[in-house]
Amino acid sequence: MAIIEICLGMILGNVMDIEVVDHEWLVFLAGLGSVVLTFLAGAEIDSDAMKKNLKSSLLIGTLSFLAPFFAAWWFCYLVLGWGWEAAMLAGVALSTTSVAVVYIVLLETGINRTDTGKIILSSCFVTDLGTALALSTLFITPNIYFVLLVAAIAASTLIMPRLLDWALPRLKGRSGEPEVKLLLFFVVLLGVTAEVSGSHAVLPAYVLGLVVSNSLSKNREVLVKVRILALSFLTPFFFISAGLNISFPAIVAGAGLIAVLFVVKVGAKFIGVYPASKKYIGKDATYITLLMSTGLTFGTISSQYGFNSGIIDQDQFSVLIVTVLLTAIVPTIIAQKWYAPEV
Amino acid sequence: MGGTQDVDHERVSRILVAVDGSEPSMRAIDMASEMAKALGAEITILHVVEIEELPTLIGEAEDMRADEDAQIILGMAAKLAKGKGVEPKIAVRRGHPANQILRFSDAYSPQLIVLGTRGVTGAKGILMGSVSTAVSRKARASVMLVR
Repeated sequence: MAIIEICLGMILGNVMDIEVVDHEWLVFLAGLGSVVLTFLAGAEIDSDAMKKNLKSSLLIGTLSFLAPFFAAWWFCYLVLGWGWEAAMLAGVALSTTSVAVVYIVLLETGINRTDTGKIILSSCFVTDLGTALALSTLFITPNIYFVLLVAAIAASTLIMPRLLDWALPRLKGRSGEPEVKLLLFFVVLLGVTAEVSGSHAVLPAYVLGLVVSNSLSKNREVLVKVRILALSFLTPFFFISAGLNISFPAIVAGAGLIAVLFVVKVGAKFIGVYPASKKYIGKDATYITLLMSTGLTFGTISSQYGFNSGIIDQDQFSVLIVTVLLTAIVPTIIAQKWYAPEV
Repeated sequence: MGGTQDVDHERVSRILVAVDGSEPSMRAIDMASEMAKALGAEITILHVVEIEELPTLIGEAEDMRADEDAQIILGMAAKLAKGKGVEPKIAVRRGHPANQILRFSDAYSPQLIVLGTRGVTGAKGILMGSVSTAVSRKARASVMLVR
């Protein structure tokens, strides 16, 4: 669905010449959509599985983030001649792994229930945490309020699980969806704090999702309601607005570059992930590495942030987004067609 | 010289029917049930909950409403089969329909797979072909397509 929404935006932007910046309501809804989506991504983390496989998932996930981050960064800076920050942003956008796409592939093969599947998913979460951390720290112009943001994240880690465990059962079944309002209040509060501190909301939203994931797993209906709100209303605006920023001529002119960046990302993921996967998981290392080469949500969020902040221009954004979309599709097809493990 | 050759025909003892709630798949249940009754074969009805191929959230794959729809489809299919005088087993899987039908078939080892014809499904269908095409090409068992 995200790809359809991005393509719709691309067509609207290039055929009808609609520009996101001309519509403040669209900018607002798209921004809110990306923050809520990031929160939900964090909330889906299986923290128990992560703790159980901490060493292997930390190692694989960290390498999965660092290898393509540095590879894409240095390639864009040294070979393509992009600016320092633009190249770094490309590194962040191409370091991601799409947890949801990986999960679907694992579900197909039944591996999602196994220890191997849980290690893979935990590693994906670590990769995306690296992306969120990079996005929130590398491009900021911190001010005095940055201390406030750090304090807010620390406080939410301590307070939010207890608060939700106390509040959600008491609010259940009341009209007006107070549980949803409570959750979204804190998501928006942290987002505003990030904005005021000169940072990006993605890290606090992701961390908030992570720290409340256990509480929400005990109150699944609240999570379902927030997810329905996000997927049906907010995130379409985010993906459509990303599509609106894509330039057709830039894609055509940059087709070769897109292919090269795709190879840089996937190649770097192999260098980073394959040896660790071989050591900790064994014979399906190629399959796992291909899955971890996918990227969709965080790649789009990173690219969109870079464009909105003026770090990258429209041509660079177009190239990065299409590369991200290709990494969502191509590695999973290759993995499933030729490297799917026997179950 | 020219005599008849003995051909070892494998007896059809297990039939797998894949249903998706469409009319062709319901006709597939009808036909498969009649065959199962005539042959004394066991029949299993499989429904695959098709999940979002490129989701943004894990939750898109775990949509409980899809499970409710699956129960309704399987309920209708089982009722049709029982109306023909057979007692079907039922099964649900999640994922890409062709992949899941083939995986289930590998584990269940039916002699015959019956499914309705249907158009391509989703973006993956464009790249990987329709469900019935994929199953008829890759299944180890014989495949019957019902229009």
